[in-house]
Amino acid sequence: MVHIKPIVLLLAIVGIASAQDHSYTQGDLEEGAKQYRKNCIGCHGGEGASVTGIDLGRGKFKIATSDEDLVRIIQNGVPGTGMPATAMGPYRAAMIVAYLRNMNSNRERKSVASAVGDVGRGKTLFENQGKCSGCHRIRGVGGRSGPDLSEIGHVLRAIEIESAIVDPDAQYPFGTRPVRVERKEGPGFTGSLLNQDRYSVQLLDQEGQLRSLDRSEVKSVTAVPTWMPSYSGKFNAQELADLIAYVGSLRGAQ
Amino acid sequence: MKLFLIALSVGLGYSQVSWERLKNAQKEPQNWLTYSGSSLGQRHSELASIHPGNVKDLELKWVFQAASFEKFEATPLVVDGILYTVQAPNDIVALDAATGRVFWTYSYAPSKESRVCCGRVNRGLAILGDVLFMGTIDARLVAVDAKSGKSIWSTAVARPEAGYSLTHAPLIVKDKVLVGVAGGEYGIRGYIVAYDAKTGKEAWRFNTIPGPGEAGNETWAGDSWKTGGGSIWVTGSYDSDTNLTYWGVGNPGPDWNGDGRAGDNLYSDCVVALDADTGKLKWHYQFTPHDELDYDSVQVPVLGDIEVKGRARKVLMWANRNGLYYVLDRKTGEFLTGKPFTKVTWMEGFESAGRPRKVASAAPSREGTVVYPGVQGGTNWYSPSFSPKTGLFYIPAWDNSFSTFVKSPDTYKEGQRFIGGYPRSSFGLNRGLQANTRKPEDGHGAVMAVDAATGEKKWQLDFIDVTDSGILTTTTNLLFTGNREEHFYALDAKTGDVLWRTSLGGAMANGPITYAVNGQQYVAIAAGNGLFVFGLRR
Repeated sequence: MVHIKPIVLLLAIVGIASAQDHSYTQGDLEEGAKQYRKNCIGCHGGEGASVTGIDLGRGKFKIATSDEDLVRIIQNGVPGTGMPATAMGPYRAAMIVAYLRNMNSNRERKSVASAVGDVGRGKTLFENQGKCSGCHRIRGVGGRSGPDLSEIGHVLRAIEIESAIVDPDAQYPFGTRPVRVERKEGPGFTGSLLNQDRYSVQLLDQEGQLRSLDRSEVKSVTAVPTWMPSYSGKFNAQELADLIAYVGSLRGAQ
Repeated sequence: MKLFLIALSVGLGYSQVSWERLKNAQKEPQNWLTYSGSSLGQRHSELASIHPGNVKDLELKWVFQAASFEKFEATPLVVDGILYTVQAPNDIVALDAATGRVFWTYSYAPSKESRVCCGRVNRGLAILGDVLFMGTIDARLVAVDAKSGKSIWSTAVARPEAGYSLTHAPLIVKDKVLVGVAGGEYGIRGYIVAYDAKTGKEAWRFNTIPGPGEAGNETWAGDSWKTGGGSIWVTGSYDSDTNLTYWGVGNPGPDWNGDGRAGDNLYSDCVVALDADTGKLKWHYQFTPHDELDYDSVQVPVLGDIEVKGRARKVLMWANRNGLYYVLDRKTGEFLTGKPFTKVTWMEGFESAGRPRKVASAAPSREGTVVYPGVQGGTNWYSPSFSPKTGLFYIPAWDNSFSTFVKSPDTYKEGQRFIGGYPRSSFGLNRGLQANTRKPEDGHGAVMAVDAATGEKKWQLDFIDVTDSGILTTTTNLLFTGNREEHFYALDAKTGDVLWRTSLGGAMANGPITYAVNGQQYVAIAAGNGLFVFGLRR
């Protein structure tokens, strides 16, 4: 039988991940996180647990059991509930599923912060005592040697923000990879590695400059420890909670 | 001239691609008549216009942009000036191979019931007479008129709702179309099936997971064979001397938990040699007995005649996902060579008759076990190449890659994933959609050249990122390949030296081909969502 409706093709159920890899790629997760922030976070929350009876990060669903079910639900919604159908193609829907399946990966870590933080106090800590603005930019204000935090509340969950503050060496999907690039001639650069191939290296240096270097002029590229200091022991439990509350409140243009 | 020939062939009712032509495909290098260029699976061409002395003069001749965001894994066919390819998932496009102008598009909308583990992809077509054959992701085999793009017949090969799909290019042997079913992550029971090319009627079937009464069923505990996987998703080969067709078989199911399937789990991770007329098994060799690491043996079986240990042999050459390069006698299946081409920790040496000595601790666990190579393997489905000219076998490799394999319980439910765990990728968590921040210790992609008889490494070209691209070699000792760094390369096949490269702005996950129209040689590869075709500046 020959079908001639290309639109049907777009609505068909998609598999997850790329060729024969059964794990999700980091690209999948990042695209999924973007789409989650755009489409889902309003109801399901940053932790994925804001709807009663559903905890997306822990695989607790009312109807879905498989990835395919989830893709279907994201596309078609659940009639009679608050879950609407979306115009989302299978690719994007599958990336959201990839993100959901990995949301919980850092949840086992035990928090040391107090339960309730104050956003206002946290902002003061961020800008003054913590000197965070020296490296982190928020909506156009602050340094560039650390990741821009303008939308970090959409990206990391509270437990991940805490981990990033007290244990900045830990790897996060949206972190940076600090490197030192030595050139054959002239001064080298320290910065965040953005991309690389056999012929070139791209980074954002600590001065805030985007640099693309030909490997023929590069002597070495080495991973270096993050220059973000650990704030473990520098803040008490309440201060930490305040800081996390503030950072978690950063969700893009207000 | 070309148009005249086309008109002539249509006008006279001439059947364009006979079995004789297919059987001798390597003798007409201006065409690319099968997935790997010939039924030997070598992806090697005798075209000689482009050579190391002029390859720097390659320029882009045309681009076909697919109306699809799926990964472009199809290898095109080229038949007398017409190029046929697949716009994923399952549209066929016929183009002028010299200009890229489209003649027709056959649109196919797969059933909503189709489910595929790893992308709505298709790896290509087969042709016999004037008919193109394509497997679909909803597990149908369709026959389409090569001149008009109109459907001739379509048959259900398997049930898509149970997780079956077809993703590889069919193989023609005589008057039959051979395909196998994919779905190794859905607890399928795999098979290879031959259809009469004229009618679509089933001629024979070989179960890759044997049932009760079939040899090999005793290698499965209890009823585990019923969901044993053994998928087929890369095209096999055919040797007219032996009349055997060779196919690589996929992983046993569930992938990462073998507790419920004690035994070797035949014929998962095997090469099977089947009588092409009857489908009867002549011999098999299992690369990874009782696999729990997803080391599908779905690579292209590469056939060649080489000297091994001082003796001329008809061999089958195989760089396996499990990280080893093998040479087998293709008449008997006798094990001749087995040598790691990358870091391997799942086995240490061989017992007699080529059975690997597995490392018991290199198995998935609840806490996670690090094993080399990782889940994507030392190589994967990406087409290798064998050059009779250099005597080297070329592997698109993931060198020094590992995964942390985690085991978990799983229960079979029709149409749902049945995998028994998951692998964690070795590379770090900072990767952007198109950016590569991989660390050196995470492993990297490479093109490797090994001695075809011994597996001894001759040269290696390293990338920073990994590669999913196949390899093409030519009689002028050129090697073409791509990678995820989006560069398309021409290398010196003897040394690995880079002779020419260009950035195509998209990763390559298919095999390059070469062909000629009106005396001009072309090289084609898909990158991102486009098919890029190069030729010499004139």
